[in-house]
Order: sequence, then C-alpha cells, then structure tokens
Amino acid sequence: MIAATDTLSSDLLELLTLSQYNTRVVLIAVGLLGASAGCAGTLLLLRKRALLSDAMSHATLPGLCIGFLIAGSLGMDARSPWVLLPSACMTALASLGTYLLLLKVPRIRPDAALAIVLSGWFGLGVVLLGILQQAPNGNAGGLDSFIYGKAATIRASDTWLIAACAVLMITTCVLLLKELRLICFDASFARGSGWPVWAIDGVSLCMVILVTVVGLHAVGLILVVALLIIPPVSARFWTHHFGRMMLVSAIIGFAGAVIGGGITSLVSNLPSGAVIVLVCSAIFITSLLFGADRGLVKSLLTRRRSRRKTGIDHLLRAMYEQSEHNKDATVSKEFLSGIRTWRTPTLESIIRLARRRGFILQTEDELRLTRAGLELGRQLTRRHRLWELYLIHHAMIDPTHVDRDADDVEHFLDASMVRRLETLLQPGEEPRSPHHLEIEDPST
Amino acid sequence: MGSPRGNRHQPGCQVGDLGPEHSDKSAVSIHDLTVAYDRKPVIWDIDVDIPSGHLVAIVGPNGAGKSTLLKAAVDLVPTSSGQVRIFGSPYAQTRDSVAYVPQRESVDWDFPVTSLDVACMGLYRSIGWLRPVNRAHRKRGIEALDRLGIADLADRQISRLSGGQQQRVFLARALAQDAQLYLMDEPFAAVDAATEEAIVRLLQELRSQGRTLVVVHHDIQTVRKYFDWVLLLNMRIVSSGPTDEVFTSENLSKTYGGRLTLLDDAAEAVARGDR
Repeated sequence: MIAATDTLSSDLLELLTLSQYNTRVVLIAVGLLGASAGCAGTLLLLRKRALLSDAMSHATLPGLCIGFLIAGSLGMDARSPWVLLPSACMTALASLGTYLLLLKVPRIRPDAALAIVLSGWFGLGVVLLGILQQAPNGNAGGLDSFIYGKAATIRASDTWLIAACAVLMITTCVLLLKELRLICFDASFARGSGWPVWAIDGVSLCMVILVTVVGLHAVGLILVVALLIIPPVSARFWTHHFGRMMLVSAIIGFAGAVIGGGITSLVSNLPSGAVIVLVCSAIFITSLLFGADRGLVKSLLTRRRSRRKTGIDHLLRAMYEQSEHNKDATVSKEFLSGIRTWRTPTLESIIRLARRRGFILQTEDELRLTRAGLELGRQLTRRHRLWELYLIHHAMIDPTHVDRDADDVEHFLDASMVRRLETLLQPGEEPRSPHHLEIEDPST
Repeated sequence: MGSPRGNRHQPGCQVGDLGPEHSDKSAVSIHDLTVAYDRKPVIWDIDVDIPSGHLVAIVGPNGAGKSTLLKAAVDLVPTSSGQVRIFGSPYAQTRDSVAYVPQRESVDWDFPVTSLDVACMGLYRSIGWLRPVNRAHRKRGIEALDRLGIADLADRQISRLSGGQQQRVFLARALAQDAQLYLMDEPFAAVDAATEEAIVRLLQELRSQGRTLVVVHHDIQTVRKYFDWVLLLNMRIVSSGPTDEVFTSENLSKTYGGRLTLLDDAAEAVARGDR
C-alpha cells in the first residue's frame, strides 16, 4: 500500500518536473493543440458552425483508412502522419463540399444536411476500417486509436507537426483578428463593403480542419469537437471582447489538454481524448458558475442584492407613510407584516439589514425611522406616487392597478427621470394621489 | 424640405443607355433589374434613377421587395437580369463610396463586441488588410458614436443596449464609412422617439453635405416630413420622384391596394415550372 503511494507520488513528481522525455513531448503537443483548438473554436462558435466541425471530424475516418491503404501499397510506414493526415484532410474537405452541395437542394434544411454528411462519411469510414482489419497481412490495429485518441502514441516528430500548426494558426488569428471579427459578426455587411468573405471563411475553416486532423492522435475524431467548442463557450463567461475571448479560450484549451494529458500519463489505460474533454467540461462548469461576465453565481448575487434593496425600500416607504399620519410614531412588526405579504423570517431579515444600514432604530418590537431613513422613505414615497400619477394621467391606466406597477418601478427611477415626471405632472395641477395623500414638495 | 434639384426623373420614362453624362447626376441608376429567390421573381423590371443629394424613401407593403432592391444594389443577392450603376459605375468600382446598413435583426446582438468595436468596423476598409485598429481609428469611432448621441455607451457590450441604441450603433458604423451614398434598410423599425429624432437629424445633416440617402421606410405618416424624394415599390416601381409630386393618395392606393395578383401567380408559376 505504502509502496503504491510512493510510486504514485514519484510519478507525480516526474510529471510535474517534466523530467521524462516522453511525457514532455506529449504534454507540449497536447497543450499546443488545445490552445490552437481554442482559437479556431472561437471562430467556429461565433460563426454558428459548431456542428459542422463535428461532421468534418467524423469524415476524417475514411481518409485515414484510405491513407493507410496508400501508404501500405507504397511500402511506406503505414502510420506515417505524412500520408495519413493529408488524406484525412481530403475527406474532411470532401465532407464540407458535400454539405455545401446539399444546402443547394431546396428541401434539405441545414441540420438535416449536417446529419446526412456526418453519418454518411463516418459510415464509409467504419466500413473501410472493418475491411482493413480483416485483411490478412495489413495490421490496421493502430487505426482505431484515432477514433478515441491515445496521447501516448504521440511521437517527437508529431510534436513538431503540431507545434508548427499551432504557431501558424495563432499567427493567422492575430494577424486576421479584425477581419475575422468582422465576418463573424456581420458577414453581409462585410461582403457589401468589399471583403472577400469566402476567403476569410475559408481560412477559418482550414484552421478547423487542421486542428481536427493534427488532433486525431490526442483526442480522437469523435471528441475533437469538444476541444473546439467547450473552451470558447467557457471563455464567453469571462469576457465580452472578441480578442480576449479568443485568448481566454486558447488558455482554457491549453490548460484542459495539459491537465487531461497529465492525468492520462499517470493512470494507465485511460483514453486521453475523453479525459481531456472531461477536464475541459470541468473548466466549463466552473466558468458557468463563477464567470465574471455572466456567471450564475454573479447573477444570483446581483439578484439577491436587488431583492434586498427592494425589501428595504418597501419597508422604509411603509414606515414613512405611517409617519405622515402621526409624526414620531413608532411602528410595530405586526403592523408591517399586515401591510405587505411578508413572512416573518423575510421581515426579520429586512429589518436587520435596514438597521445595519442605519435607516431604522429598534426597541423591543417597535421600529422607528432614523433621520436618514426618513429622508430615503420620503424620496421613495414621492417617486412611487409620481409614477402612479403618471400611469393614471398619461398612460390612462386604471387607478386600482397602478399601486403594484409603482411598487416595481419606484426603485429604479433615477434623478433625471424624476425630473421628467415632475415636468410632465406640473405641481400646480397636481391631483391628489390615489391614496388621498399629497405629494410633499421636496423643498419643505 | 429642400426643393429637389438635378434632373427630374419623370415617372415611367425610360432610362435608356447609361452614358457618362448620366453619371454625375444620378447616385443610383437601375436598369431593367429583376431579382428572384429560388427562381421566384421578387422584383420585376425595375427601372429607376435616383438623383444624388436627396433623402429618398423606398415605400411599399410587406413583401414588395424593398430590402431586396437595396441588397441587389450592393451585390448581396444575385440578379436575374438588368444592371445597377452607382455614380455611373458598377458597384464593384464604387463600393468605397457606398455604405449599406442592414436590418437590425440581421446580426446576433449577443456577439462579444462593444459599441465602439462595431462603429470601428466602418473603418476597416480604409484601414486595410492585416493592420490592427489603432488609437486614431478608435477616436474616429467615438466621434461617429457621438454624432448619434451615444459616445457614453462606447465600451458597453452590444447586448446591453436597447433596440434604439443598437440601431444607432449600426448607423455610427455607416457614418464612420464616410460614404457618398447610404443605403439603409428600415433604420426606423422599432426605435424609440429619441432615436428616431437623432436619426432624422443625422440624415438631414448628411443630405445637406450633398450625400445621397436611400432609406427603406415603413411609416407612411412621416414620409412627407422626412423625405424629399420617394420611390413607391410593389414588386415593380409604381412611381418615383419628388415627394410633393409622387406621394399622392392615388399612387399610394396603387402601391398598397393594387397588389397585382397576376404578378404573384406568375411568379409562383415560374418557380413551379423550373423545378
């Protein structure tokens, strides 16, 4: 038991220090792959073509089989990337062509066209793979590692290929950032102002095919779509700038691939592609929850803050309206819970908050407004009634309906809107409020 | 409203050849233009001349082909026949003096860009390939936003803008293009009163600088107030010319009431026959 722990920790040490040549090669390769997938995936996602890449990656399987056959018949190393990858590119491109042709048929919708392309080409690949594996002397055993991905099969020569592709792609994205942003946002404007949209589109699709094909070793053709799409979707939760989104997406892709690859190298017999995708998914869930731009936790906090503000506002207004009848009066909790449909715990927490912010004073069960609370209550009441009057006299809404509307709006009327309401409602001809209370003039 | 200048286009007159003497007077000359989607004609035999320096409304019912006419002018839809000349030359040669403003719904407003990013897109052509957007460009982008009264929203992500503000961002992008001819597809659709006012002020300012503006417009009530030239369209040109002469109740009822059902049926038949 102790020995096993020892081996694991020494493995971990080896991994973290990158002392093993093989691990180093694999991790550098998958990291670069993840980063370039993050870049290409951003374009794919924003151009609304996420599923197209799935169809193209499935279509690489027949290409791999054909490449394997060609390499074998030429007497080359059957698993040489220099034959397999170009032929995989060819069938991926052919699937793109099939898709574009199907789109021209009036009765086929884009989603159906994608389904046909994906399954058709993948089916062809599965049949070819079956034939190859039954062939007497053709050892096609290595080919199925392309389906699920096996990072351990990455060799030093593959790393150079992946690194070259990554550098090429990242440079292209940086140089063409402006053009890519334009066609992703508004292609018809781009076309109208003279940009060759088809060429820029072509560049971005080439990047996607390149990532797919060089990523076959590491993540496999079924899951490569995840490496393309999950990082940019996660990145969107952190930023709303195109360039930064691409950068964040590249970093997430890099991290997901390196961590996933590292885990695979520690535990034997795990498919690297699936582990990398799971790590990316974990990053996605984290982003979804804690993202700075539109994460769930942040929006929940915002909602809670606004709910608390609304509660305090309502409390102060209720107490202020009470003080209009009787100055210096205290208000009991029972009275407050009778006015609004507050449940006791809700009321208690609102009172606690209002007390902490210095708006009310509490003695036993009696509450009293502080000077600050009185002033805020007065303003709120005024806004509430102005809005009611506006609804009644300008929006022609029935007086019995306006109270609830004003309840929702009073918290959000800023100074300029209040001024506009005052101009519209002319203090001279100010009618009595629906609750038979005058609106106080702010100067008194 | 300024009185119409330049050569008056007589309703129904033939444009004939588009010689060079034509070019300095008309901003857009359309000759015999027919456009079909899926082989079904949407606009038929459009023959019209829009003189430069005018604020022009394209008016007509839904499905009359108003947007299609604009798109055909900027080569966004393939034409079945006919030709469009802009300032006397084909669009490919004059595109830098043309700004096209698509309908607001045509893009995804959740896209990760700010108002300023979008305004600066109007400068991309003049910036050219591969060069990044620099500080001077951003300054011009902010100036364009400012002319529409939304410079304070420059750094706001576009999904957090109201509909009217989004429309203003689109117009700021067109303004940044500094074009001679503006083609706008329903800039007044679903905007608030303040935005409508800001847009009208801008359009009139641009016209007083001698630029031509062609606007697809839905609200018949405001045509007389805003525009000095009108093009009434319902699959074919019903009439075109100065607002005072052309925007008559007789022409309007021809445009809106007199939908030529035979034209619709023939279009359907063409589409069916070709399958």
